[in-house]
Amino acid sequence: MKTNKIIREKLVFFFLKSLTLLVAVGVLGIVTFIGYKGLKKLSWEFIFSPAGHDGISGGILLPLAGTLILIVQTVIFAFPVGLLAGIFMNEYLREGRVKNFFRLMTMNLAGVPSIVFGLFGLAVFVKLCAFGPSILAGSLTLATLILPVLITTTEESLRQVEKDVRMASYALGAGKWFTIRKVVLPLAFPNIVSGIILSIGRIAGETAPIIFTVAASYMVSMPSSWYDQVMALPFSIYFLAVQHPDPGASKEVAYGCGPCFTDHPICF
Amino acid sequence: MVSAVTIFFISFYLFREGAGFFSHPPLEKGYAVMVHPASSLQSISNEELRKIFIEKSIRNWSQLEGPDQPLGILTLDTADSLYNSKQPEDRIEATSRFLLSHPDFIAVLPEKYGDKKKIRILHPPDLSPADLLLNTAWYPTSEPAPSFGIVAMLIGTLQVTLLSVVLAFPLGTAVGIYLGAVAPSWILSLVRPLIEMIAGIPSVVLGIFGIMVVVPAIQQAFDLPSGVTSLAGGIMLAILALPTLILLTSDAISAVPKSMTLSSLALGASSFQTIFKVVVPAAKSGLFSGAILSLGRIVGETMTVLMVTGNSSQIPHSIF
Repeated sequence: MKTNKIIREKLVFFFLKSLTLLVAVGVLGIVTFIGYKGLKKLSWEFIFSPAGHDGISGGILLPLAGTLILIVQTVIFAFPVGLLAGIFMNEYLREGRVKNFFRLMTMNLAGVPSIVFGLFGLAVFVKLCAFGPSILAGSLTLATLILPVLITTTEESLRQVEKDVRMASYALGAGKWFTIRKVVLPLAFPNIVSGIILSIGRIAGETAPIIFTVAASYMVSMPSSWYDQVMALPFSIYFLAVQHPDPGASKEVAYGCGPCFTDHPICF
Repeated sequence: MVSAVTIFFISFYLFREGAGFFSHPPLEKGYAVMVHPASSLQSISNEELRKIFIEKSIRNWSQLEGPDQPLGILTLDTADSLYNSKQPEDRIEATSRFLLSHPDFIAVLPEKYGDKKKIRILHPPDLSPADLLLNTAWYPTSEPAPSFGIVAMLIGTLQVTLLSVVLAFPLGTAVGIYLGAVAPSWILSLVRPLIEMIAGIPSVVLGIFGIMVVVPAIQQAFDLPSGVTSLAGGIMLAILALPTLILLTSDAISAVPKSMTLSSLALGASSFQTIFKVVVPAAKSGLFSGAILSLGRIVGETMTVLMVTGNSSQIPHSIF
């Protein structure tokens, strides 16, 4: 009787272990495949030469630049709003129904699929505000996308700053806003920054929000104004993959590497 | 507060745009259907419009409860020969003249080209939710009468979601439980970063991986003309949801207070019994919310499934 049970339990554990092994091997396989296929095509001129893109040849300078521009612009829009919202939620709101309500709203926003954000961006920024498909519209859409992440990270990191530090600051005669600015924020900053890095990874990778609002499949030169359309890396990957399988591999690397680098600071 | 405003905005605008869908007839803005005033046609429905102008399966007036006469159709593209001048009055004149002399014609033209006194102008009824939800034909860009039936897409989404849930949930929960409760820490430190890495890969990259690896594999394994199937979509979505599910599950399991595990073991239960009868039920709410979050990700994912399932709007017969 007892041995039967022991055998059964050992079997179950072995089964679970092998499943995990399977998953781990699968994951490793996917990552290596993407890295290998991509790395083959990566070269200095690949990164820095612009199109010449008759769809296939040429480099990824334009999409890379486009994605970088979008990242910078999005962070410029989203960071102040997210930071201030997080500060407000943590420092100025008391625990209660209102705070729970806002938290619920933020969680909701975080769970919306990215293509819904794209539709929203299309309806509001492109059509209603009449920005047209442009960097402005695209970065505003992406900013709404990462807003909940930023707000949550800011709030969490502010919460981790101990009460004692704040109390000490008040005791020395500092006002509330002064305390936040000079004492709490510097302490919470590393965590907030890692939140920003996480969102940058997300911005760089999202395709659906930018399809309707920014991405162009082919642009001749670098964008010159806020109202220009831009080539973006994820969209170019999609476009080339659907059109022609080989260049897909060439884009993968800028992709496989991107999020991997964003994940590493978090893993370690 | 900002997010509340944003959510409000998003829902408001999306609903507004969506509601706009229902207050228009399925013709382009400003267009109307015109016939000869003595024609037998009193009203026209969206279905009939589509059959006349697009499928061209109604070609005789007898199918519209009229005399047995072949049906002629006139649209703006084919009316070039009719309109010689750009003056609206001339065009109105030309339209009326044409329709009066050709009683067997149905025309779809801008409404301002029709003279209500001379010819009959008909408006098909506005689109209704039934048109959207029950119709199987999805031709949103066809002229002049687009059709917006999303049944095919709903069923397709359902099928792919179901498939990926069946593939991912058991596997994900099992691995999550193992990592959360059973695995020694050296395995954890190896496997967890790996899984976190995949969780961060953008969906397009997974879509490419799907196109290059999964689709041909299915093609070979099941001997199909093309590997672009909903099975591929289900597999890719499962790969997408798996890391999130595993991470959330293992977090939920390791969040169960150690005191529970220790007291269970102290009472003489084996680790197997402890895990499956004590820890897992204790972590139930965390497991549940993890499952819901991954499900949300599966349902909402666009790019991966787009690249791998081909995006054709037909009701799928099987997973191939």
